[in-house]
Amino acid sequence: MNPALFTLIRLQYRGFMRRMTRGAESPRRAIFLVVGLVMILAWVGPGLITAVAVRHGHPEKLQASEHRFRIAAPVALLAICLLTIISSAGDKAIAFSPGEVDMLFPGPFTRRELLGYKLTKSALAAFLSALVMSLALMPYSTSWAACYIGVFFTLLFIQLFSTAGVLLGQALGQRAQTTLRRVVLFGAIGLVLLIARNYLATRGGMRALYEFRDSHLGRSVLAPFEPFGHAITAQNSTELAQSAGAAALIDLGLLAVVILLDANYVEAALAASRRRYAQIQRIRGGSLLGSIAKGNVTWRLPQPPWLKGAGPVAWRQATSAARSAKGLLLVLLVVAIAIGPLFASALHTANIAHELIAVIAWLTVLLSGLLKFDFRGDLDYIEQLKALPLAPRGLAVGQVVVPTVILTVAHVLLLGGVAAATRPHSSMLLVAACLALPFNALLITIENVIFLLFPTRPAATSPGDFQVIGRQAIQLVMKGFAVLIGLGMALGIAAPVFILMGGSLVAPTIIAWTVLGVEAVALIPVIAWAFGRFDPSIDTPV
Amino acid sequence: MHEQLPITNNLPTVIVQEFHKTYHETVAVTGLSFVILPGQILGLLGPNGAGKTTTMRAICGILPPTHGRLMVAGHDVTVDPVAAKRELAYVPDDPHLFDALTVWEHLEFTAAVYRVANFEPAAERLLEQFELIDKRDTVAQELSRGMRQKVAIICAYLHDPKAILLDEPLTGLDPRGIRTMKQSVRERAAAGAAVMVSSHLLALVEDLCTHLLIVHHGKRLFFGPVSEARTAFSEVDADASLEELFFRATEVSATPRMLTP
Repeated sequence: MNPALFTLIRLQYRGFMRRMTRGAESPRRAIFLVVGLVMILAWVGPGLITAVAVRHGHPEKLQASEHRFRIAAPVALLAICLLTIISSAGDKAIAFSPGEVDMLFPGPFTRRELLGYKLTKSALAAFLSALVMSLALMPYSTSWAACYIGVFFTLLFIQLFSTAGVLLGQALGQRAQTTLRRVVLFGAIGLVLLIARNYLATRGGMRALYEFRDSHLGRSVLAPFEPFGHAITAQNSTELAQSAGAAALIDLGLLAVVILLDANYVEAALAASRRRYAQIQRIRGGSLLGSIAKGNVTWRLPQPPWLKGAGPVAWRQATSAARSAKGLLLVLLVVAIAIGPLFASALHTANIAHELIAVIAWLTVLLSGLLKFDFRGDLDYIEQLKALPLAPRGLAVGQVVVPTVILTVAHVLLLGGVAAATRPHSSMLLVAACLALPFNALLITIENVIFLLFPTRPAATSPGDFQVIGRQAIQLVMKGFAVLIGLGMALGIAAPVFILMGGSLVAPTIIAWTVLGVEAVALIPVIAWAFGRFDPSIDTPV
Repeated sequence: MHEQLPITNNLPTVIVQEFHKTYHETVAVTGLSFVILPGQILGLLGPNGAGKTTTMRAICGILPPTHGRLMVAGHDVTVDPVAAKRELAYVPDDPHLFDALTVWEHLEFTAAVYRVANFEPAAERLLEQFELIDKRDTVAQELSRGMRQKVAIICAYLHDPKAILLDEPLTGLDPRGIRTMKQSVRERAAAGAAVMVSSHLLALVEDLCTHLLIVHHGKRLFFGPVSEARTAFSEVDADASLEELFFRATEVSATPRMLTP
């Protein structure tokens, strides 16, 4: 490989280290950095402590964990590989940054040198990532060295498989690639249904996996992925040598496939780079889901009434949601409808309605970031929105309506479905379904206030950027805290009424609904004010 | 309650008086004053960082001025921004479109926002004029850079604004698109709109604009008819090009005379 490419890799890593600590001299950024480091420690720490405690106190538990990991790891790897083929996730393995495309592709480098450069960078990334991931996986492993080696080869495997997949797709051509994806997709769905059938029949997740793994189909399909799990959980050096050796051979085999298919590497890399860059730009602009229907569109949603400007704004967001998040909305709908029957058996034997509601509420707070059909998804459009002749409050209402409605429909279907399937325990679920609208309105308005006051771009890349991790953690805490305060006020007023009414839920529900609704409505002027003070020339993050 | 000035051919559509914009320690624009009358096409020139985009954004109500008065069609932009914005259109440099919306839906949205009744005939005419009729049902994400620029321009024209602000409007356009763009600006001005064009393409400005506003370091160096620009600077020959004039004007040693229309 050309020595200049090694120089570039070295300089890039120097820049990466510089970026990790950039601006730490400013108090705010220093706090973000510290919080980010704490988050990483919080992810890795408990596993390490557990691993040490189990080793010394309960070695049989370690063995059981290792056994479970050996069952699950090949299935997880298989799932990653299937996802790579079905989606465009493999693009990341072969895509170059815009700077690399502009500087390297016209440069005096052969395609093998560019391929070597990309694979060298991937190997170095795997070397570093395995350091952190191996610590997190210590609860499942006897030896850190074995864990590290296994994780390293696993990360290389994923990288090489993705690269081979993209190159194979390029070699097959677009039509054949689409056909292959469809075949793999149907195969994957069949596999999932098979495992789901086992799960329902055995009423236990691990037993279903054991049965699948021990079947003839399971053994054949999972065989290439077994060495990686075995390497991570190797009990002794002999087992480590055997399984790591097998994993290394598989990786070398994939490398050979990549080299065999590299005739069109440059074109494939260029196309993948363009797709990946466009996706990153959309994610950075706030659109988490970047896939929009191509070509001509033949349907459109009807225009709602003016409503002081809220109508057209909500229409625009609803159209964007319907076009760019079809897949997610469909998944949300299917999960919301199907979860009732799945929980029915559990809810018949024990009243876990309260726990279920709490989990749903917390998951909603965590996952509301997926539905950025409001100001959070309009970071690059703020200038245009500010130039529109719309009263800020009307604009604010129009912006928050769509994600609120989507979440509410999902909640109503989910909670209503579970309530219908478990009649004796349905009253709290029905109350929760009634409160879904004001709760979601409150959540979404809080999200938008925080975003407009502390705008950030979603971190599409930069895995080592602790400041971004820290900032996101702080914003999550702020959001959770604000939601808890809002909920607390509503419940604090409704609870005495519940007691006074002798346990009747109607009046407290109406009161809680009203309080939550008032809180959400009260935040609209705050959003309008925050939008008004947002200066695109200084507040838009780079 | 603000005082709305009646609009006649004699009264400026855009009035900027003593506009200052400061960001923390940085002074972006200081003491800028100018007007644009109906039918005038004002070329806004200046080096990078001179304050051109800041000025345009302030007129559009996107940025609040630190102090100063900005009026559009008789409405104060800071006191009654909605009414002011209803009378103007702004096309930024490299405009962002809504990726999931089609070309037609951008027009539909614009018509809804600006309360344009029965917008379809005007929209069809604009699509024909800018050669986008075949792309009316194409989502914005699928459009080329030049087509996106055209969509932004069409959206700006749809509600017949009294003031039109264009920041580098020719970027990405092909030769036919450039000609259509220049023609449309002249037509809009002839119909009574006040147009402001910011561009680094001095040939465009020389060809298209009736008046010039040259800014540097946030200050006005020259404001007046293009024909008088050459006599405004003692160092510039009477037959000098606009390019020569611009370089002379923005040199530190230039001694400008301030002219008003």
